Amino acid sequence: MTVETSAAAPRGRSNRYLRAGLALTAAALAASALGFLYTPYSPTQVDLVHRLARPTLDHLFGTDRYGRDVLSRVLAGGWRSLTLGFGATGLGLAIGLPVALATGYFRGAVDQIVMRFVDALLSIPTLVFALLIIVGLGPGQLQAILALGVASAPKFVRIVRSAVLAAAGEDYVTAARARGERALYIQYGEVLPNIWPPIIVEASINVGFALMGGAALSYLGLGTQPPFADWGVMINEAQQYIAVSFWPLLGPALAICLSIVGFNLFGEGLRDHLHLKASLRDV
Amino acid sequence: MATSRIGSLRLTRRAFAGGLVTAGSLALAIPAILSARAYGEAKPGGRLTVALYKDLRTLNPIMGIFGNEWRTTSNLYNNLTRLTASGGVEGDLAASMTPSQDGDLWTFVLRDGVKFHDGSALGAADVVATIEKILDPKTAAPYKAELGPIAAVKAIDRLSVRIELSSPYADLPKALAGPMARIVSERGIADFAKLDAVVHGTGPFVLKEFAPNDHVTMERNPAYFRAGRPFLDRLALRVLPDTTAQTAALENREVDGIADVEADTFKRIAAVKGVNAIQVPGGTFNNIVLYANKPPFDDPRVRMALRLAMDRPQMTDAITGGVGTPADDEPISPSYEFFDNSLALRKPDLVKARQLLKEAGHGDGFEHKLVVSNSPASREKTAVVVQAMAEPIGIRFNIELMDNARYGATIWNKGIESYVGNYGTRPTEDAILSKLYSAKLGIDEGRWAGTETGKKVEQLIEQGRQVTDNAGRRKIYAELQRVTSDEGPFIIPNFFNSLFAAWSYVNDWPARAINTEMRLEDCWLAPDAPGRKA
Amino acid sequence: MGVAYLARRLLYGLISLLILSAIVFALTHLLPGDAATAIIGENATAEALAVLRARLGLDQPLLMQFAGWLGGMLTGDFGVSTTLNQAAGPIIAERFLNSLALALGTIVVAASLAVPLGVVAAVKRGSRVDGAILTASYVGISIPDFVVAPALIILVAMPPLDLFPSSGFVPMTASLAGWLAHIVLPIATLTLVLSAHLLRQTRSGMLDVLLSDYIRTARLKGLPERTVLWRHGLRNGLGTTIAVLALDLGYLMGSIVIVEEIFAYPGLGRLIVYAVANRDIPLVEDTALVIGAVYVAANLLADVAHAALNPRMAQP
Repeated sequence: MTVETSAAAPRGRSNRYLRAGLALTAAALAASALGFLYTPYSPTQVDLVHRLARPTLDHLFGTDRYGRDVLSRVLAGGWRSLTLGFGATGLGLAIGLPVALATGYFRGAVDQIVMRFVDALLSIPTLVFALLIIVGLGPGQLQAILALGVASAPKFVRIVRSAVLAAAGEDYVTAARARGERALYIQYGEVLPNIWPPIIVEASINVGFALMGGAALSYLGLGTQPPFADWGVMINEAQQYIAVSFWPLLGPALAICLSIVGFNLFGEGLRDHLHLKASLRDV
Repeated sequence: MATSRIGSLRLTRRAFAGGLVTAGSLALAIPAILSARAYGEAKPGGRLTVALYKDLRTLNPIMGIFGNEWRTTSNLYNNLTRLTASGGVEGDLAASMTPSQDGDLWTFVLRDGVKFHDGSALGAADVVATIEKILDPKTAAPYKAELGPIAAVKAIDRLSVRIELSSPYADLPKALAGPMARIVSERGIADFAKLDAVVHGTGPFVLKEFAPNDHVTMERNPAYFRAGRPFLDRLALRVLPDTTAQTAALENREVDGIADVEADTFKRIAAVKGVNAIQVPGGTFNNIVLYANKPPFDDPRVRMALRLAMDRPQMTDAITGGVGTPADDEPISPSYEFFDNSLALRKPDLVKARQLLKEAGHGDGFEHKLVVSNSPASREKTAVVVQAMAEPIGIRFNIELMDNARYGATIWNKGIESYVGNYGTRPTEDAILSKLYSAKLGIDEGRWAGTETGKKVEQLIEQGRQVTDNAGRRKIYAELQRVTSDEGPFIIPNFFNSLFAAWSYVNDWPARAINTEMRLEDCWLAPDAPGRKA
Repeated sequence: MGVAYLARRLLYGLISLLILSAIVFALTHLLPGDAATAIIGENATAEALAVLRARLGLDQPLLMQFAGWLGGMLTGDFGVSTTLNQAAGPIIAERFLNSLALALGTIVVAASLAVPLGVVAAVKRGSRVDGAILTASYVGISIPDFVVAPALIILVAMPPLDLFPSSGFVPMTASLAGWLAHIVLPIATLTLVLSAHLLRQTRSGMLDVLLSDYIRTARLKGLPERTVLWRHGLRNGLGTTIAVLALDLGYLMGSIVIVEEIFAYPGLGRLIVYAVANRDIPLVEDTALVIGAVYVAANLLADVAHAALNPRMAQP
């Protein structure tokens, strides 16, 4: 095997990943947008006569334990799930990125202190951290985003900082320093564009984690406010009577699985793509 | 299909006609196990494993608040009295009980020769120590109020105890059968802090091992005062918090029975060949609290409008998965002795409901917050279904789900927001009525006692405690049932049936309306039981 | 890597644990409700609550409570669980061992599955094999554990297959076979969930190294591909994997509440969620500290391992 052939191959593959990831992500977004505007039935319409119905032409994914149309609930739950996934990841990044760039760039005493805090927070299990926050704030969509976002921030600090540390020793940073560039510019103008790949991968994986985290909170009875539901809450609800009927599980499980696969493919594809560009530039 | 089920539920309500629940009427609901072979055939020996659902924190009967804690202690301790399968009461540790003429002085004579697990003999001093400990405010016993108006307890001689009441209380023998009133030895009471994990009881089983929220194992008490009991050599209770795993464990015979089957899985379990799924109408309910001293529900018309929007049989079906009994907003279920089954179930009437709302000045309906604790999960189901039923008449409930401790500290009984309460079956009508409706004796949860009707209800409750003849009591409790149903500050859509499951080789399973009393001393295993092989 | 470096890391770890305790203590105290309301439930009267708070020491000033807990901790006294009214030490010790067994078992199985696959995928990147491995990993990464666990129970632990006990736990000391039989399904579930992430990080880490100048130099030196891959590639490429494994150990010790709950496995995750839900602060504190300590130790080990594999790596 030679470098040339192996380097050439991933380009096509990464584009394929990227395309597949984009397609799935776009599908998830489209379904959520559709659910925002239109659903076959009202997602909260209880129909006690038709409880736990199997899929039919009227109800493509069947009905849940309250007789609500699962398809409508999957569509309507989409934006809740996606805002939870993206929102929590975005918040985690928004907190983690600046902290990591600053501490990784400046090092020194502040870095030491911040990192002890980050280590402390990292060593609390994420779910427990999120649980402490959401129990304190009370449940709700925004609170869940806040809890899962804040809980994921230390991880981002850790990952981004190690990338910053590696980058800080590179020639282009040394050069920028020698040019007398401002620290902020070097952090955001020079370092950040060069450390994107691991951040993208971690962020795309984290979107999936946030979705699962939301579902885990709902398992503990602290999910979205009923009668509304995101996909995680729906899965959790359906899981409780999986031995009786697994049909209500199917719709939300498919939605969450395909979306998570989509985000990951997207992240992976983009990473390979960027990585390749970076390595080609080095050559 | 829904109709036929409603039909059978109505039949169940009727089956309890005559107030006293007879063994015959229970057999209607549970043919398989209670009609079990005569005790003479019972074969001693073997090990029984029972699955529990969630919380099992303490073995201290005085401090327990969860059903699993009571199920456990009912096998480790005895009370002065116990409830019979037919809902009556009989002596347990007490050989006799005699009220005075006025009904405010009771004398209990204990069985002679009963021994605690540590070998010491049961005496009047143990009973006095236990009851005084429950009544001591420093104990902070959660169920102190449900023991009744006890003023003093005295030991008369080695085996006789006299209980003085501050007012006559006909229900005392039944109240003493409650889970908080298990008799602990004087020595156990002296070492109260240890009672969470150490047992000082006389019960049919002796504690072997206890891991909180995980499992408890017990062994046969060879010195048990009932000759030949218990039949089982060993008893293990395992906490299995997931319903799928619970179902699987039963099907695989990793457990022989389930103490409290989750309603959604009941039908699935009932379909397993060789498993007896048993349901007994119970008195556990969830109540939507509508404060009677605050708008909008201070107007009885608004409360009535909401009642008229509820299709109870359908709600029961949806909330309990088809294994419940419809209720009419009264806390007295068919499982209580003085339940009046002549009251017809209220039929939904949306036209009248809207009319009432309009008269009350809510023609366009209104929004209302409804707080739900995340435990137990049935609260959320009740809230979702009530919300769906209320919507067509324009009452829009906004559900706010929260963590149970936050709910307990900021919402429950605080008089601020409406919420979904949760109460288990009590031994007597009085226990639940006085708790929920009397400001003097209980918590007046719906802040109703300030209203004219509420005051009358409070007086009736006090009267009910003092009347001793059954006909008089029946009349009072029927009236209370009617008033709370028509005007009370709660929506109670259904009662939850007590659900059990056990393999057919388990005989004489204690399937009772009060499912938290799980005395397994009469239970025995057929020769083909897996628990006999090991 | 010298002794001084290790000592410094250890000191950092201890400081982090102290901060962790303070944060957890403060957060738990900020929550509405306390152990008294949890113990007495929906029967509370103001009088009973006051009595209980005094008995549990909840009426003491916060700093006193924290200092009391910390002081006990320094002398090896884990305190008393407020809601179980039992010494917290033995409860936690038992759960800790259970969690550790589950975590280590999962890590061994997951690593021996995911690391080779990740390396193969990286080496053969872009090939069909790579594609197949990655696609399979998506399945693991996208199905929630609380779907996998009941599905496994229904598929393997119920008739007709009925291969393993559906749930529960048998101590290793009571029966080794029983212990093994009970731990198989939880490990299988967690392996499915973790392997995907591990595999992808391994592939990613290997890819970084394989495309680096370092490997290029090795190749240019004319070293055989096998040597390049094993001696140089793997040693450097597994750094990420080791770091991920350390993170996973922390995750397995405290965040797998749902898997523990479904399989009725008495681990630390369920314990800490119980403790938070019941505001049992000593228990929350103790459990968080134990989980934190494992995390710190795992990271320290990962560093050592990393440095041992790759001596030329700069010390952070």
